[in-house]
Formats: sequence, C-alpha cells, structure tokens
Amino acid sequence: MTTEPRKLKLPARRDLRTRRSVIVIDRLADGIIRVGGLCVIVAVFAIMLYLAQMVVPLFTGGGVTAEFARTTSAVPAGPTIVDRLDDYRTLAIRIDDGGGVSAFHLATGTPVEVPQLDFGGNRATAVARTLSGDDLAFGFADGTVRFARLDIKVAILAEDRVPAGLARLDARDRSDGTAVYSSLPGAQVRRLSVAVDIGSPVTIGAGVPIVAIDLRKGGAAERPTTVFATVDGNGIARLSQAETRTNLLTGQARTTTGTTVLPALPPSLSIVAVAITDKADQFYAADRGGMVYRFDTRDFAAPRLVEAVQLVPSGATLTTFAFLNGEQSLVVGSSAGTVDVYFRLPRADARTQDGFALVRAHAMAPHAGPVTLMSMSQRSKMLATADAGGHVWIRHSTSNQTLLKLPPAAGEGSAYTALMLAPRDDGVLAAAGGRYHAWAVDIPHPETTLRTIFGKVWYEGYGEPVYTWQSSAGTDSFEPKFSLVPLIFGTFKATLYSLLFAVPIALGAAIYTSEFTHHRVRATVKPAMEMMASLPSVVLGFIAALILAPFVETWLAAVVAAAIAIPFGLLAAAYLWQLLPAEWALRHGGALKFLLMFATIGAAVGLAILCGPLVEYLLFAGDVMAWANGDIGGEGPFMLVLLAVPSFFMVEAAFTRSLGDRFHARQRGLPRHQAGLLDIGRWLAVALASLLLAYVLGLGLAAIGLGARGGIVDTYTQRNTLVVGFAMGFAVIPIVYTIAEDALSAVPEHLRAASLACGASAWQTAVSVILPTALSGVFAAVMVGMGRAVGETMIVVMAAGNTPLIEMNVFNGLRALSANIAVELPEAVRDGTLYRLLFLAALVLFAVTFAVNTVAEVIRLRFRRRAAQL
Amino acid sequence: MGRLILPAATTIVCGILALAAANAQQVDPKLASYQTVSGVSGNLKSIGSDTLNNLMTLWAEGFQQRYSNVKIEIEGKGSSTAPPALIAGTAQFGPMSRPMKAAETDQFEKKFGYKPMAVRGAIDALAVFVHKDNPIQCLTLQQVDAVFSKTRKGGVDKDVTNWSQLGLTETFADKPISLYGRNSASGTYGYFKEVALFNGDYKDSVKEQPGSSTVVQGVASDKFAIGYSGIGYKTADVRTVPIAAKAGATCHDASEEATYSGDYPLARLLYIYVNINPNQKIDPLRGEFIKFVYSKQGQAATLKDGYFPITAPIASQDLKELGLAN
Repeated sequence: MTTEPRKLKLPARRDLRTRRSVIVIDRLADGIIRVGGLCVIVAVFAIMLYLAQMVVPLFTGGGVTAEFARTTSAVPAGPTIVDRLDDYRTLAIRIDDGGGVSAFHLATGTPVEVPQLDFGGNRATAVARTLSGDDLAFGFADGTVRFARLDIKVAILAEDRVPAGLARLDARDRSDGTAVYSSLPGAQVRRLSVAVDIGSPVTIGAGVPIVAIDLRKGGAAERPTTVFATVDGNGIARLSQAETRTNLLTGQARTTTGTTVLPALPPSLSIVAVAITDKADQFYAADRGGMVYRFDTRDFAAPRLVEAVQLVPSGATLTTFAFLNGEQSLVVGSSAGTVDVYFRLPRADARTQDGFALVRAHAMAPHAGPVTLMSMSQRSKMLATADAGGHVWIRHSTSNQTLLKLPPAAGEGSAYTALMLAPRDDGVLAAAGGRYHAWAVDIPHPETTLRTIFGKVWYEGYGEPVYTWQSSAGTDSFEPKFSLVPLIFGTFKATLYSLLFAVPIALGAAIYTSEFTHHRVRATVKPAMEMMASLPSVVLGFIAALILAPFVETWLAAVVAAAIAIPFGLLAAAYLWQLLPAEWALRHGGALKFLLMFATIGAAVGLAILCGPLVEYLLFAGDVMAWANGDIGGEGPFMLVLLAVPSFFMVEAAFTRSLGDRFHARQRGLPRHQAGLLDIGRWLAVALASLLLAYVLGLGLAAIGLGARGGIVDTYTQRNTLVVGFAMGFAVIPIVYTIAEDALSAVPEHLRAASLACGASAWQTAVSVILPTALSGVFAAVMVGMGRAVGETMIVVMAAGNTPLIEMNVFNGLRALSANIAVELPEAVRDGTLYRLLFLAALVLFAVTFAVNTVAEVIRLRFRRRAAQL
Repeated sequence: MGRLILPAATTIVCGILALAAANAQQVDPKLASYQTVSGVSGNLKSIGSDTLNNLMTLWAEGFQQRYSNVKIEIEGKGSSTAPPALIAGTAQFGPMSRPMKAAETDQFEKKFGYKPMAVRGAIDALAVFVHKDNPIQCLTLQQVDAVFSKTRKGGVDKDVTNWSQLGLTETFADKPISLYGRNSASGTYGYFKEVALFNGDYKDSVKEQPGSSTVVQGVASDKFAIGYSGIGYKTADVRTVPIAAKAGATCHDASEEATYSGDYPLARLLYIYVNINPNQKIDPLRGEFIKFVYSKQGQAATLKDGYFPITAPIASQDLKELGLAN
C-alpha cells in the first residue's frame, strides 16, 4: 500500500481580524481578573489591618475619662481609718477611729446618713479590712478586738417602685438622705444603702493595746475560712484560723478553729503593719525602720520566726506595707519614695530557716517624695500609690509599669490622708479632710506591654522571670500570664518535626512515581495520595490522640526500630534485586516489583516489632521511657542511630569522590550478577564505615555535652510531638507530594531523554538532571507543606497535649498558636485582654505565614531563573 | 398517626417514671414532684460548663418529654464560655462548675444593671483519677498540689514528678507521672486550681484536654497518668483517688456521704446561671425548666449522670430567691 503525500487544506480566505466578540470577552476577562486580583490583595491587607487595629489597644495605656475636685461636709470627727467606695463609684464611705461612719455622694459631695459603729466610747488603735472592705476588724487599747461588717446593699428596683419625694443629686442620682437611687437604662433604678454590724469585743491580750491587726476571708464558697492576726504592745503576735464546713444534708455548719501565739518580737519595735495569707501559713510583721519579720506558721503547733530582713533603703522609713490581691506579692513603700514588690521564693542561698527568702521582684518607678498611701485593686494586680506632694500614680505589678500619673489639682499639693482605688479599677478617690479629688479612669489592658508578651516576666511565686502562657482561672486573684513565646515556639516545633517526617517521604514518593514507575501506576497513585489530603484533620487528630498515641507509647522501641529497619530493608531489597537476571528483572519490573516493595516494608515492620525489645536493650539500656527520662543508660547508642543517616551520606560522598570512578571502571567489566554482588559488598562496607563514623561522632558530641538527651529527647509523655509529627505527616505528605510530583513531571522530556541517552542511569538522571531543574517547584511544594503545618489546628489540639512548653523534646507535647486560638476563643470576653491577645496570636500567625511565603517565593523565583537557562 | 404515637409516648413516659421511681430513694423525698403546666413552649439555649453537659442534656430530655413544643440546644465548652454567652444573650442558661468571678459579674452588670442569678443544680465531687491498675491509696491536697503545680503553694517543698515519690513500687517505681487536665475555659480547671493548687499555677506539662471525657479517656489509656474531672465522667477504666485535706487528716473517697458532709475536700456545687430581671416575673419557659431541675424527677437525673442531688432546703431557698416558690 502506498501512501500519497497528504495535502494540507488551508482555508480559502483567512480572516486576519480578530472577531469583535473575542476582543470584548478578552477585555472583560482581563478587567475581571485584574479587579479580582486587586480585591484579593485589598482583602488580605484589610484582614491584616483589622487584626492590627484589634491588637493596638493592648499597647496603649489608659486614660482619665473624668476628673473633679470637691469638698464635702461629711467629714468624720476623728482620723479616717477605713475608706470604702462602692462598686459603682456612687458612694464614698469613711470610718474614723471612734466608730463614726460618714458617707457622701461622690459626684456632688452631698452627705448621706449612714448607721454608726458602736465602739463603746473606745478609740481603735489598729484596723484591718479584707480587700473588698466588707469585713473589718478593729483593735483597741484594752487588748480587745471587734469584728464588723460594712455592707453596701444594692437593690434593683423598677422605676415605678421608687419612693416619691427624693432630692435630686445630679442628672443620674437621687437621694432620700439615707440611700442613693441611680437611674439605669431600661427604666431601672439601683438603690444603694449602707448597713453596718459590729460584734462584741473579743479579748486577745488583756490590757495590752493592739498595735496591728490583719484579717482575711478565703477558701472556696463551700468551705469559707477566716484568718486574723494581731500584734500587741508587748510584741506578742497571735494568729487564728477558722474553717467552716456545712453538711448539705443536715444544714449543720461545723467550724474548726486554731490559734497560735508566735515567738515574741523584740519589744522595742514599732510595728506598722502585719500581713497574713488566707491559708494562715505565713505571717509578716513590718517595723517602721523597714525590718520585716516573717514567720512560718504552716504548723500551728510550732510557729517559728524564719526571716528578718531590711526592705527599705537605709535612712528611710517604711510607710506602707500590704499584700497585693492574692497574697503573694508584698508591696513595700518607703519615705524615700520607693515602691517595691517582694515575693517569698525558695532560694538555695537563702540564709533563712526554711530555705525561702523575700526577693525583690519588681522595683517600681519611685515617687519624688515619701510614699504615704497605697490602695490595692480587688480585681487585678493593679495598685495606686500617693506621695506627700499629692501625686497619685496608678501602677501594675505584673507589667511593672506606671499606667497613669495623676497630678494634684491646681493650687493643691499637700498630702492626702485617704486613697481608694475603685473596686472595679475604674476610678481613684484621694481625700484629705473635707477636700477630695476623684478621677474616673479607663485602663482596659494594664497587664500587657510588648515586654510582657514577648519578653520574660517575673510572675508571683516564680523563681525567676520566665516565658509562660496561662491565660485565665476561676478567681479574681489570678495573675494572667500572657507570653506568646511558648506558643510561637510550639508552632515551629510542630512544623519542624512534622516536616522532618513528611518531606523525605513525600519527595521520595514524588521522585519515585515521576521517574521510576509506569505512567499508569502514577495515574493510580497520584489521585490516591490526593484522596489522603481530603481526610479531615479532626479525624486525623482523633485517631492520633486515641489510637496512635497509646500505640506509639506501647511500641516506642519498635517505632524507633522501624525507622531504621524500613529504609535499611528497602535498600537491601534494592541491592538484592540487582542480582536477578536482567531479563527476568525487566519483565517483572512492574507489578511484581511493586508487590515485593510492599512485602519488604511489611517484613521490615514485622522485624521491627520482633526486634523492638532487642533494640530497647541495645540502645536504651532496656527501658526506653526510663532512658529518655535520663535514669539509665548512656548517650552513645542512640546518638549512633541518630547520626547514622548523615554519616552514611558523608561516607558515600567521600567514597564517590575518591574511589568512585575506579570502582565503576572495575564494575563495568564484570557480568551482571557479579557486579551486583560487588555493589552489595560496597554498600555494606559503606554502611559499616558510616556506623563507625556515627559512633565516633556520637561519642564526641556527647562528650562535649551535645547529647540528644535533655535536648531533643527527654521524659516521655503520651501526647507528644512524635505522634503529632506522624499525624500531621498524613496531612502534609499528600500536598507536598502532589505539587512536587507535578513539578518533576513538568521537566521537559528532552532533558530526560538526553541524560538517559548519554548513559546515565534513571537514578542519576533523577538526582542530577530532573531534580535541579524542578527545584523551584519542589521547593514550593515544601513551603506549601510548611504553610499547612504552621496553620494546622485540629491535629495539634487533639494530639499535642496543649502544653505550653519551650523544649525541643520530641517526646513531649506543645501548644501551637492556632490550637491556642481554637481552644481559648470561646471563653474570651469580647474586647477583653485575652480576646485581643488571641487576635495578636492570629496576627503573629499571619505574619509568620506571610514571611515564610515571601521568602519561599523569592527563593523559588531565583531557582526558576536558573532553571530557565537550561 | 396520633394513635401510633400515643402508645409509644406512654411507654416512654412510663419508663421514665419507673426510672425516676427506682432512683427516688436517694433523692431528697422532700423535693417537690414536678407538675406539668400548660402554655409552655419556645426555644432555649444553654452554653457553658462541660462538666454539666450531660446533666443539662438529661434535664432537657426530661423537660422536652413533658413539653413537646420546647426545643433546647446545649453547648458545653467550659464554664468560662457561659458569662459571655449570657451577656451577649445567645444563651438563656449558663451552666458553670464554679461560681462566677467578680470580673464576670461586672461585665454582666454593665450590660443589664442587675447581677445574674445562680441556680444550684447539683453537687459534684471533683475527682482525681488514676489508671485502674494504679494502686495509690490516698493523696493529701498538698501532694496533689506538688504533682500538678509549679508554684506549690500548698507548702510541699519538693516537686513531685514520679510515682516513687508518692510511695508506689514495682511497675510504678520511678515512672514519671503523666498529667491530664482541662483547658482554662473550664470551671473545673479554675476550681481545681483554687482548691487543690491553693491558687497556684499548673505545670506547663499538664496536658490540657478540651473536655472532661477526654481527660478520663487520657487517664484510661495512659497507665502512669493522673487527671481530674467531675465525678460524673468516671468510667470503669479509671479509679478515683481518696483525698485528705491535709497531712494526717483522714482520707475520703469521692463518696456520697463524704461529699454531703463536706469531708471530701473537693466537693462543690454546680451552678446554672440565669439572666433574671429582679423587677419582672420570670417567663414560664425558663421558670418551668428551673422548677423541673429542682423537682424529684430533675434531681433523679443527677444520680443517673453520676452526680449527687441537691437537698430540699437548697432547692426551696433558691426557688424563693428566684421568685418561683409557690
């Protein structure tokens, strides 16, 4: 059969003009794409701006929203000893040393009549109040103590139930002389009135005056406790504790009490203040000269003086001394103007009897003149201090910053005699006689500064400044710990370990399917891998936490063994395959080879499980958990395993450089199976040499203190980064694989053909020709995988234990930024500090992915330019 | 169709009544029996404590069986999610396993002018769980503190990190203690921190689980674990550890008796917070639900869920405060 040359059919007349509709569609598409692209960019920036705008208030301080100075005629007869402000800053209440209670409407100074405390004609010599001011204790010169309550009663009434004939105080408030009625939104009225109640005198030290007293109410709602302490004129300190438990069935309350008399203080002291904890385990007495005496009263049967320490600068006197909310920070003010925060901490070099010492954790900005007054917040670690010049400063202990400096009103400048921080931290009242100055302040985020979020902070009870994340608790005395550093670290740790697991497998698989298998195999494998990517990550997390984690824990040695056995087994199988006759190997290169590979992996896993105990014995001195914990065994064997792979590559490279050509020349002359045998011999020799090298390197590194233990392996916990790495691998491998595979397959066929035609093996072609050409795509694949790992949430939430640790240990957990956002967002109060911090976490996550992607893109473009020259 | 449904419904109701009767011996007999009223319908949503999640579900089921026109949705991610939900008005009930903090009440008051009301719905013995094979006999609160806390405010000088330090031998000797706990949204987290940790801080190595059941699952699958959650989540794979209030005091298991007497140091009340305007009568839907919670039938559910029922004095006191007393 002859073939005639085919005639090329050309259109008779070719219209060279583009059709109008095509042009229109083209322009339209161009416009839409342009607008769409711009919209995406704008949207990304808008998100970033929104996040930034949510975050900014964290770093801006507070401000004064209203301020006024007035006088009132409601002045107590004697010196004021107790000050109170109600929750709503409506009423100010003062008690003098004769039990006289006076109250006035804060905004106008109008006096409000309130019941008086009956001291029986005595004058109080010492006073104590709980932080809220509801409970009071007064000490008297005759050695008695009286307990009292000062309740500010709040009732919400409907507008129509308000009594008629009230005198109007201001736009919001009315009064009947004994109560204040404040109009609220929704036709409601809040009625504020004061109730007092005083108990009968309790004799503490007969005839000896009480010079200092402290009172605490604590315990959970189910088991309330009361603790109070006194110091009398002879320096005798007493401490009492009462705990009440109520039987819920019978309603019967049982109160257990304990009292102890402390070792005597030197009688020459002039005790200014005492402070106790609500557990009654610590007792502090402060002398005017600045000496503070600390007693350990954990054991009521044997209280002891454990520390006496000077806490004010020499030459100065101690003027204020009190606990911050939570009774962990002692704040000491002095006549030199210093305001220092002390923690009781265990110290190895403590020259005290209990190994603890008072340590100055924060030295706050000093006042210009002597500190005269101090008032503690009931909600946070905020405090207000006033100096002799009438300056009032609002500070925060955790962030050690001065939030507001309130100058004295014009024409004033003398010392105040009373200072009150409002119960909700939203105002300050300073008073002297009938003159007072009030500020309404708004300090939404006193605890955050750049330093507290990204730097080390010294928190209450901590031995040193640390990075830590503990955002909230069930009590108001909790000091929130907002360091993003452990979370950022956690994100990077999870990413690093999951990429270490995923990238070699994914790239290996991509190279294998694109370069070594039949295109039909690839057509099945690739969609199967992509199916894997569609597994919801919550499912992966669930499986990881509840199935994989216990499995890995039980079979840890086998898992380590498998990490050695699988690559080794596959390599061994590959060398053995070379021994097969060429024709047979070629004929069965497809399905059978594939099946054999699976069989090899199966056999390697089986072998790993069988050899688990042996590996445990050889590497981990018989017990991998105890070994990781650092209890038994040495570093050597594990370092050998860890360094085996890098050593192998080093030895292999050295061999190829030095003897490679000669070896290949020799090999070429041999028949196939002999060449194969020689190759196995070479491989075994290299493997042995690399083991030797790894051993030497391992010993060397361990000797200079670079061992794995205490670094990347440490105490084993069930929810750990290894498990996260495996689970996240499942999420990352398909993405990296499919993009890398596309990049490798896209390398022009002529390059492959040219390389093979020049006599290079498929492996040489893949590694030296295809991979460098496709490097930009492969790199992009890894970066996209990294992006996925950084943002991955559900797997880390479920399987990582959410422990905000800063340790590289692969055997313990982590807390990632993304997981933290997911876990804590439901509890965050809108526009609260935690809420904004979670936005900051999101912004950090955003910035990290942005940076990673930008760097990736820059490197990718550089590679691509190089590849384009090929 | 109606003919088909009626017998089925009767069977279900009878079944529930029988169940309630079976449990009735343990519920305070002075509690009122619930009387169905007419005209109750609408939707309710509860957001809050995970500890109370199952119990809320049981109450909701019981309530819905009496009122077919009522739909109740329950979400339990942690007690700290209750106040924001009550403030935003997304939920009518805010179950919490700890009392509200002052800061949370402030937020509520800022919006509504009045304070939220608390319903004391059940009694829980917050339990410390270990694996079922763990032989530990007793822990003092101070030891629990030393196990879970990095600040050790309980007063124990040395950190406790392995089971030998708590006196265990053989398979548990020298084994590191694996810690499980709740996330910070949880009221159980807050309560445990307040009472067992004496307001100290958790170690960073406490594995924070999103729910009570995952804490218990974690402990069940981890032989050297210790964790805490409401007693209602106890399973056969974990053991509760008896707790003593201090060294030398008697150890009490999380039993009914020790919980009621207050001897078990981690006994606590479980609350449901409600937004009730003190000047208005509560709407019948929420009012009836609260009455149901306080009824014999409602309290029988607490037993079914593993918690302990509240007593008649508490119920009558709370109902009076809520303006629901008859």
